[in-house]
Amino acid sequence: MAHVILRDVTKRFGQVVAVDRLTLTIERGECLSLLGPSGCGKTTTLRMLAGFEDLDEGEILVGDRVISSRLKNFYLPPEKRDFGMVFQAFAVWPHLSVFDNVAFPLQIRGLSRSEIQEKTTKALTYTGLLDARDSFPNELSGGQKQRIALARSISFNPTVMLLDEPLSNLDPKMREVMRFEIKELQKRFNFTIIYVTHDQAEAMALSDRIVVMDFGALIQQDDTPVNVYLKPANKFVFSFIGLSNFLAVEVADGRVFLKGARDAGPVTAVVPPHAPGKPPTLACRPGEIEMVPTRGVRGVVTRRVLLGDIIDYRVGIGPTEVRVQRNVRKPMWSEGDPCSLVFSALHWYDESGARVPIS
Amino acid sequence: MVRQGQRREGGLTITGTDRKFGIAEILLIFSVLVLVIVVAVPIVLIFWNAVVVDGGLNIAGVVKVLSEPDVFQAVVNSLVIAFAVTVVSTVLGVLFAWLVSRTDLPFKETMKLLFLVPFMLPSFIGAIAWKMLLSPRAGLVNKWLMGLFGLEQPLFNIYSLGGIIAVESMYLFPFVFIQVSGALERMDPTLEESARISGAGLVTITRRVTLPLMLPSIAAGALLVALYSLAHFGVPAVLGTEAGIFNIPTLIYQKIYASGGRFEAIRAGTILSSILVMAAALILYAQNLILMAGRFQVIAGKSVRPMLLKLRGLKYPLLILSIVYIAITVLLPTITIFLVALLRTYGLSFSLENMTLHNITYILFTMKLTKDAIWNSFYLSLAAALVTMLVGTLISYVIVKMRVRGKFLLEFLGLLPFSVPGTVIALGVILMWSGKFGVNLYNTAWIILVAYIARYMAFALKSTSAALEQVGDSLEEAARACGASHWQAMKDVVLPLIKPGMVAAFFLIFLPALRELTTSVLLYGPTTRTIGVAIYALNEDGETVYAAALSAVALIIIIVGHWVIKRVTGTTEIGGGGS
Amino acid sequence: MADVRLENLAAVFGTHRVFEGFTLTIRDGECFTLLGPSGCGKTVVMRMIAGFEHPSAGEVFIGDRLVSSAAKKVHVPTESRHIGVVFQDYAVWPHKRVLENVVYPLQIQKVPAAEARARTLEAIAQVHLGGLEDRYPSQLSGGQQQRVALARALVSKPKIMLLDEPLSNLDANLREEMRFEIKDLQRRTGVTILYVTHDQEVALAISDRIGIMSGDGSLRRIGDPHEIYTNPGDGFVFNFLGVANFIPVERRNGAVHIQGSDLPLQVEISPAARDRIAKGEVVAACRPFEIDLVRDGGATRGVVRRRVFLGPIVTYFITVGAVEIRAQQEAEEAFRGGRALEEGEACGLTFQALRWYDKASVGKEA
Repeated sequence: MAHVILRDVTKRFGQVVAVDRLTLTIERGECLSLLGPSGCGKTTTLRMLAGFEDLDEGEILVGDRVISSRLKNFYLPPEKRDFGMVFQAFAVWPHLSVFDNVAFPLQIRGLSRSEIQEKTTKALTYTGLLDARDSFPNELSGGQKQRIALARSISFNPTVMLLDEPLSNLDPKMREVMRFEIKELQKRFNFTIIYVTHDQAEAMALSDRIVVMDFGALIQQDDTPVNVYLKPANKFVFSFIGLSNFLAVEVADGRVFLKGARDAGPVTAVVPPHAPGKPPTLACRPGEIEMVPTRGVRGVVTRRVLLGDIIDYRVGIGPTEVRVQRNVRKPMWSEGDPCSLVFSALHWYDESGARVPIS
Repeated sequence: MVRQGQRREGGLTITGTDRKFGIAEILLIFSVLVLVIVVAVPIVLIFWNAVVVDGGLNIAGVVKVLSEPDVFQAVVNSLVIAFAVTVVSTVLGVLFAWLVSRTDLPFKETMKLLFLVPFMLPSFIGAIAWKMLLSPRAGLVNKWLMGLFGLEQPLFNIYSLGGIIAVESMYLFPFVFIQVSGALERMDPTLEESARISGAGLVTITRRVTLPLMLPSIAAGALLVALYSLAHFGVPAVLGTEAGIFNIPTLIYQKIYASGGRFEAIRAGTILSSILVMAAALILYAQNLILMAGRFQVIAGKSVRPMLLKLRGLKYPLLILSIVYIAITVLLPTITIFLVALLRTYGLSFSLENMTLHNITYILFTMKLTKDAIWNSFYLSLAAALVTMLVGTLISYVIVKMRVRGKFLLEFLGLLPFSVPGTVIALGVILMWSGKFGVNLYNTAWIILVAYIARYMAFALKSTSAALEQVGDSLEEAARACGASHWQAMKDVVLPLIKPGMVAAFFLIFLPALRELTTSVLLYGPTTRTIGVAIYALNEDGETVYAAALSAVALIIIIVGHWVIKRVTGTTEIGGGGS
Repeated sequence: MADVRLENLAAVFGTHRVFEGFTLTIRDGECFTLLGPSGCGKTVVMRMIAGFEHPSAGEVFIGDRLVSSAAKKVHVPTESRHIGVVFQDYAVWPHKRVLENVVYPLQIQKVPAAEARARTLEAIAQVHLGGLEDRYPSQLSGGQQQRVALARALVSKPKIMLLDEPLSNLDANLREEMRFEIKDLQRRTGVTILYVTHDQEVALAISDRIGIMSGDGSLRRIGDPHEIYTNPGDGFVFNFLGVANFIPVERRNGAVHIQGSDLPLQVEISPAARDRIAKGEVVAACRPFEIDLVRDGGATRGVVRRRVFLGPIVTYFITVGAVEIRAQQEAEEAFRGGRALEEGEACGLTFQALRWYDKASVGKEA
C-alpha cells in the first residue's frame, strides 16, 4: 500500500537544480534509503518531506492527503506532519534531561501526565535508556545521544520516520550497533523509514529498498540491496556500491580480450552486443575474480597487500592492471608470480554508462 | 580562525621541556614579578588602606565612613543605576539581536553595523551631546518642544537618574546585542528544527528551546553591562554631578579633588573602591558560574542557515522602529557634537553664517590645553599598547606553552584587572607610586602609563593567549624535527603565526586607551591631561564649543582608527587555516 | 640510515604509568609499525625517539649514538637527532608556501641556496606535488598537505622517519593511495621507518614487521604481518587484527560442546587442548570466514538469528547453544549460488580452523 508519494518534486537554489522532478513511491512499513554522493539532493529531498523546504514544482502526499503542493501553494507545517525525525548531529536539547527530551513531543500534544509517563517510559525502554532517564545529554556518549533522538521520535508513535545520516557522527563500532537497533525498532513498530546516507554499507544493511541518486536527485537505480549489488543498472551505481574494476576490452574472433592483451587469452566467448569497433567497458568486482595457475587470462602479480582477512592483489595483464581481492584462507601468490584470472560475474556498460544486457 | 596543529594538555610535553636549565623558571619569575608590581600591589594597597589605620585593623572606621550620607547614597545610586541599565540594555539587546538574527528584517547587515556603533564611541561624549539636547534650560530639544507645544516647563531633564540610566543604556546595550546575536547565529538550527518536527509551533520553540539555550549568552552580556556601569565615571560625571547625584567613581573623584589629597578623603576613596572591587569580583564569579553551567554545546559544525521568522505585517513598522532608534541614539548626538563644534559661540542658532572651522583649528593648533592632551593621549596609548603587547606575549607564552610549576599564579594575576575598575586602579597606582616605595610618579605622565598598563594587561593577555593557543604544538615540534633549535622554532614558526593576534592586541588597547577618561581623570597633572580629561575639563569650564570641537576630533580619530584596524587585521591573515 | 634501539624504556610520571621495561630494536632500513589501541603509549614511544619526551628510565640509541638516558642524564635535543617526523595533523606551516615548508630543514643546515632548491624540488617531485611549490597549505587538500609533510621530512635525508598516524585524517580512498606512496618512498630511499597507528589494515599493508602493544603498554608480539596474522599467539592480538569469534566451550560426558549446545563439537582437538579445556582455561577462537555454512549436517548446528548484507559478503549471526557466532558467505555464492540462509533458518557450521586461547588473554576490547 502506497504510503508516501513524491510526484515531480523539484527544488532549485538559484541556478542549481538540487532536486530534478523526483518521483518516488514508498510503501507502508518499508525502509527506503536515499543513497548518493554529498550534494546530490538527498538531504534536500528529506527536508522537503519534513516540511522545512518549499517545493518549486510537484507535490508530496501521505496516503491520499497532500502535505506539500506547489500548485496549490499548500504546505502543511512541519509541526503538524506527525513525522519522527533524527538528525545527523543528534539535535538533542542539552538543557533538558533525557526524560524531558523524549517526553517533549507528548507534552506538545497535550497528553495527560500519566499517558506521557507511560509512553515516554516505553520509548526509553525500547532504546535502552531507562536507567539514564534523569541524566543530561552532555553526560552521555554519541551513541546514547542518538538513542535519545530515536526515542524522542518514536514516543508519539509516528507512521513515518525520516533519518538524515544519523550514524555518520558515530565511530564504526557504534555505527554497527545502532544499525541493528534501528532495524529492530522498525520491525517492532512497523513504521515507514526514509533514510538518507552516503554510506553504501549502511544503506545495504538497513534497507528494504535502495534508491541510488546522482546530482539533481536523479534516480540511477531503485531496487533491493541484493539487486543493486548484483545487477547495478549503470556504471555510476556499480562504482558507487563496492569496489570495482573498469576494464577496456577488444573483440576478435568472436571472443573478448583485455585491450592490448590478446595473447593473454580470452576473457569470455560471450560477446555483448555493440557497435563495431566500440565495445562496452567490462566491469567486475575484485572479489568476484578467481585466481588460478593456468586456465584463465594470463598475467603477472604486480602487487600484493595483506589487509587482514583479505589479500589485495594487482595483476598486470598487458597494459591493464586488474585488482583482485581474495580471502586469506585461499592460496597466496607472491609479487612477480605468473598467474591467471577467471572472470565470473561480468557486467557491461556502454560509453554513456548504461548497462548492456547479455541475452 | 581555524586551529592549526594539535594541542597537548599542559603544554609542549608531558615530561618537561628540554630547555637549557632554568630559562623557563627565569621567565616565570620575571613574569610574576611584572604582574605583581603592576597589578597586584596597587590592589592590595587599596584594601590595606581601607581597613588598616595606624598599623591596626579598623573596621569600625570603615563602617563609619560607609554610613556617611553621601557615601551611602553613592553606593545606593551605583547599584540602582547598574541594575536599571542592565535591565534596559538586556531588553534592548535581546530584542535587536533577535530582530537582526532571526527575522526577515530588511537591511540586516547595515542594521547590525549601526547597532554596534555605540560600542565605538565614548559614552561621556554622548553624555555631553545629550546635555546639549536635553538640559532643562538650554537643551535644544527641550527648547524646540517647548516652542512646539507652548509649554512652560521643559519636558526632559537630563540631569537626573533617569537621564544617566538612559544614556548609559544607549552605549552599553551592544554588549548584550553582540553576545546574543552571535549566539543566535551560531546556534545549531537542527535544535529548533527537531522541536518543530516534534510538534512545537514557533512560540513554543522560542519559549522552551531557543531562550533557555540563549540564557548563558544573555547573562554573560548582562553581567558585563552591570560591571561596566558600576565602574563608569564619564556619564554620571557629566550628567549627575550638577544635580548632586553621585555614583562610586564620581564620588571618589569628588572627594579626592575637593580635599586636595587629604587622608580622610583617600580613605573614603579606598573604602568605596574596595566595595567596587568586591562587587565586580562577584559579578565575574557569577559570570563564570553561568558559563560553566552553560555546558550547552549549541554551536553548529557546518555553516547552516538558521530558521527565520517571517515578520509579515510587522516587518516595516519594526524596521522603522529600529531606524528611529538608531537615528535618535546614534545619529542625533553625533550630529549635534559636530554641529556645535562648528558654531562660533554656543547658543547661536544653527545657520551657515554662525558656522566656522575656527574651533577645530584652534584646538588642534593653538590651544595649549588641547594640543598637549592630544599629544599625551597618543604617546601614552601607544606606549601602553606596545608594552602590554610585548609583555603580554611573553607572559602568554609561559602560560600557554611552557610547563613550569606555578604558572597558575600567572593566570590568576593576569585575570585580576578584569575585575578591577579603572577608578580603583588609578587610586591604587596613586597609593603605590606616590613616594611610598621611594618612587614618586604622581603628576607625571608615568603614573598614567603605569595605570594604563595595569588596566589593559588583562586584555592583552587574553588576546595573545588566544593567538598562541591557535598555534598547535605540533607546528613547533615539526620545526624542531627539521633541525631548528627552540628559539629558531619560535622565530620561524610561532612568531609569524601570532603576529595577527599581537597586532589585534595592540589595537585592542590603543584605541580604548586613547579615548578613556575614568582612569586618567584621577591621575592627571597640569601638563599630563589626556584627550578625555581635556574634553571633560572644557565641558566643566563651560567652554562648550571647544569641548564639542575636541569631541568631534576624537570621534574622527576613533572612526579612522577602527577602519585602519579592519584593514590591517584583515590583510595580515596569510594563508590561515591549515587543515 | 640507522637502526633504533630502545632498552628498558619507561614512561612513569608520578602516579601515571604508561609503560615500563619497553625493549625493541628497529632494524636499519625496515618499515616497522607500532600497532595498538588508543592510549596504549605508542605515541609516547615515538616521541621519546624523537626527543620530545624524556624517558623516566631506560635508554634510546639511534645508530650507535646514545640519544636519551635517564640514568646517565643524557638527552640529545630533537634538532640534533637528524630525524624526519610526520605528524597526524600534518603540521604544515600555514604562513609558508610549499617550497618554503620543504626547504626549511636545508636552510637550518645552511645548505647552499642553489643546492637546497634543487633538492627541495626533487623531494616535491618525489611526492608527486610538482607544480604546486608556490601554493599555500590552505590552498591544498588534506592529502596534498600530508605529502608536503612527507617531502619536508625526507628532504634532509634523515636516518630515521617517525610517522604518527599520518593517515587517520584522510578519507578511505586517499588513505589507501597514501599508504602505498609511503611504502614506495621507503623502498626507494631505504630510510628506516617507525609508523605508529591503531589501524591494523595499514599496519598489515605496509610493514616489514609489526609490534603490537596492548592497552597496558606492554609489547605483546613482534613479527612480520603474515606471520602475526596467521599466528597471533594470544586472544588480544587475534581480536585486534580482525573480526574474531570467541566461543566458550564446556565438557559434557567426555565430549566438548559449545556452551549451551546439546550437540558435541565435531572437530579435531589435540590432547593438550583437551586438557586445558577440562581445566576451563581456554576459549575457542576463529574468524567468521573460517566457518563453512551448510543447510544439513555440519560439525554443529545452530539457528540464524540475523542476516546482514553489506555488499561483497553476507554476515550471519548464528545462535549455537548460549553463544552467538559470526559467520559469512560471499555475496555471489549466497545469492547467485542460492546458498543464502534466511533469518530463523536452522543451519550447520563446520569449522575450518579453531584456535585455543587463554581466557585471560582475550582481555579488553582492542
